[in-house]
Amino acid sequence: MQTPEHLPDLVALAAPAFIALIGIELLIVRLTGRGAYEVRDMGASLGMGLGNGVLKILAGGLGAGAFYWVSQYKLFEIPWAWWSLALCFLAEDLAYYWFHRISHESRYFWASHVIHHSSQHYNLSTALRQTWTGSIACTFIFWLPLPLIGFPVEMIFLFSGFSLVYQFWIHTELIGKLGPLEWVLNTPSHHRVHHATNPQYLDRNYAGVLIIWDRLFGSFETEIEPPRYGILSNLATFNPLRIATHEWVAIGRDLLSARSLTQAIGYVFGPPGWSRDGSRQTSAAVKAAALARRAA
Amino acid sequence: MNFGVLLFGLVGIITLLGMAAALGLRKLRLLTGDEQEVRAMALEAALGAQVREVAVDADRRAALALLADGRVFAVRTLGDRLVQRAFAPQAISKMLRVRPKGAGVAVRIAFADWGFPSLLLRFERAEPPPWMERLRRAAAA
Repeated sequence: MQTPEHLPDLVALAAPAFIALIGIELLIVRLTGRGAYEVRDMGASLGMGLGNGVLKILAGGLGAGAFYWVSQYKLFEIPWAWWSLALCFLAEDLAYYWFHRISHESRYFWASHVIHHSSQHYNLSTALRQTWTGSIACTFIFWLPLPLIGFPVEMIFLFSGFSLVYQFWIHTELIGKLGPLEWVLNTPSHHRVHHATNPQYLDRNYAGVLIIWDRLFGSFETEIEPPRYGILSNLATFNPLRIATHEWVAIGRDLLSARSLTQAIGYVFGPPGWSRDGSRQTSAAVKAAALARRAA
Repeated sequence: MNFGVLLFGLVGIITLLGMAAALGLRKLRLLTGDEQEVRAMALEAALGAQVREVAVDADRRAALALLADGRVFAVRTLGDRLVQRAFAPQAISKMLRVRPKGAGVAVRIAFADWGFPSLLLRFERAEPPPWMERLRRAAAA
């Protein structure tokens, strides 16, 4: 297989399909009453998606630059071949899993990722509610092992684009469970669990394309009771600037109140909801309290 | 990704918003206006904290409750959803009496939370509830 000269930008190619599918879902929701849309919520989500695109153009070079820089020190010369494509797909999906998991477990990365969870709705427009600060916060570091191993940078971009496009269609309430596919793929059902705030669903199902990583690393949960979407402290705004920056502002406020370096580190890199006096709740605390209530 | 794709996306977004509005998907959920609704929400959200006082906006778009442990519980409408949050008293950054659009008196309450914009509670009477006035004085102090 020859090294391709030009690789398609899958996300840009898929943009018309995204818009068409949201339009179709809007019609189905209106006609059947299944699922939910609200104009301003959808506007906020799509506005966040557009802003994400602008910031990718302005700051996306940071990640690309880091990938090319690291690739100078690659351990292996990996050619374009069917086996390397298969390996790269798996490696990219695994990198996505850990990026996603740590984005829920450490507030520094959560501050960028929370945007995607900040809607109380779950529909195709929610898929496009994306971060504005991810590139600046260097979330690309989770993929750096791939160019270091020797995967061509363009190949990594191909699969990260594929993963993004794949994850669009799973943001819907209109598709139920998909039989045997549920064992291998991240499906609408699995991802509804991921977006839910029901205690048993918190911090579960981090997969990008393959759900096998959650099954392997013990973070899998199946959808049983109806999910309640959003975050533990839901936002009271549709303003994209507030949505994009609220957690960073909160981190700043907490840093000002920190009385030691340990507390400052806790506020920045600890789990979301960590506080020096225990006055807030982390996901783990919410889960434990729910379990205790159930046992009582 | 390039600016051409983004421009196409912008046109698509405007089309979708127009379509959603035409389909009647601009919705507003209001509170019932009954204090019991807010008490029940506070009890569930604040994990059993006792609710001392409740004030509901005359337009049913917001409510504020004072909890026995000193925290305040705020509720506001957001499209077709409600958003609720319990705040420590020191999280009230500003509390001002303002002239409302309708009759009566109104109080604007701002919190030290960038994700929870200020609440406006209008009352169809000359004065806000006394407990809110005490809270306002404490916030101003």
